Amino acid sequence: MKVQELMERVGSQETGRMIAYIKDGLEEINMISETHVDTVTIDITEGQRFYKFPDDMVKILDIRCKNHQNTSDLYQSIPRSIYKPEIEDADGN
Amino acid sequence: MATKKEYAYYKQGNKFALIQKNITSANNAITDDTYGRYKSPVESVTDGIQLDYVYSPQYRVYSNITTNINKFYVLGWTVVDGYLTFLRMGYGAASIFNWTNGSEVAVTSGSSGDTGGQSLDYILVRGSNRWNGLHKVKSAGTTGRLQTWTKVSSQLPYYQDLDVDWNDDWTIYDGGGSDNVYLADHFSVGDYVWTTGPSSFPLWGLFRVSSITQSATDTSSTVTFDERYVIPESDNATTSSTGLDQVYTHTLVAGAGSTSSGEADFHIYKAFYDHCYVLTDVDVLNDENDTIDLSPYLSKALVYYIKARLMEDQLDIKGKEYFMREFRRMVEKHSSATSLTGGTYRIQGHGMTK
Repeated sequence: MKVQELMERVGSQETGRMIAYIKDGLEEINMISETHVDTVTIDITEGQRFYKFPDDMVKILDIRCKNHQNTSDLYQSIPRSIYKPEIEDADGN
Repeated sequence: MATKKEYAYYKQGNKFALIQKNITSANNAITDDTYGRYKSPVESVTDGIQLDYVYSPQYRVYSNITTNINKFYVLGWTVVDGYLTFLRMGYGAASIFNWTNGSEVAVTSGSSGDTGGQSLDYILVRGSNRWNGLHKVKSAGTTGRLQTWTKVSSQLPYYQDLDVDWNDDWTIYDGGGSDNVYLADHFSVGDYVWTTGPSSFPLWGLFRVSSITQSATDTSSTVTFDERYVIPESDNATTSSTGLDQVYTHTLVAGAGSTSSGEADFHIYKAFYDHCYVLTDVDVLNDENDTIDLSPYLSKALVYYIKARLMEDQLDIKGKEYFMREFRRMVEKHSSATSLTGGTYRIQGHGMTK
């Protein structure tokens, strides 16, 4: 469906406002239903604890690491830690 | 054979923390106080993390993605005037990637974003350790730099039109001391440096700092490199067999480097090595003629959402609640209809009682 068709269905002629609401709606749909999923790979750097989420991320589904609990170079889901480790990172976090 | 590892993560703001149990074979409980405990990753792993995530489809990417046509690998990034800038450089003298010419011009010539009388050039970054997502192009440079409108809070040292001398052991320093720049005070071992400007081409590109020598005399404050990184090219004899999706690492041998002196047009930037790629010709949702990237059924649900928002603007709360309920009902119906556990493809498992 084109933006124009959607505007006709809701009876609006305000393009900017409609596009803003469409973007909100697309986020809302993906929060509920996960219609658009992507996978990125990130390098692990020795000593680097913090890694940034993708800028366009709405919701995280899974984090897998190479060789986690295996020796076959397989990517396996890693658990979420409830507590921070006792050993601090070099930057104090 | 690879070693078995134990990872975990926790969330912190817009980042996640990766921690690893320190059980590497080189360590043991006697010599290492952190043995058996979780800490920051104990070793580097290329492509070590796979992250599955949901994104909002506010853009569409050209479907036939081809390297060096609409997909361009970059070596890393730096910050210029506060804006994120991606860096791309080849091996030979004819390999100064010009983002305004050749195939790289696609970052600004792509017509998909230029709708509604607007000139909007977007790129989508993938494979990066930090910048995955949509970015708007600010300026396409002629010397390998692609600047975006993405603001970066961190400041990195950089110098433009500097008089820098190079020795053949890949050491640089303030040439003649005319600029009074003590280079060794601004870079550390392991940092990456992006240079452009000198007449001798091998001195262009992304370099890794192997050593520094600090001094109270500017011409003795030196930075030495040991590796240069370049993007492989199909028609380059040295890099052609590397593979277009890899980085060619040029090991720098002391005594075999090019030299330069008396040139005052060096540009030197502290940079980050981050091999990733940019996709061009991205169609961002910004015009009435754009197509919404949803199935027909979910598009109808979106109509209900818009109506709900319009009702809310008119302070018609009952109307808003009605349309939101219809919106959620349609989205959930779509979700269960496409789910294999929803009943559509249910089969009987082996050995189950009929």
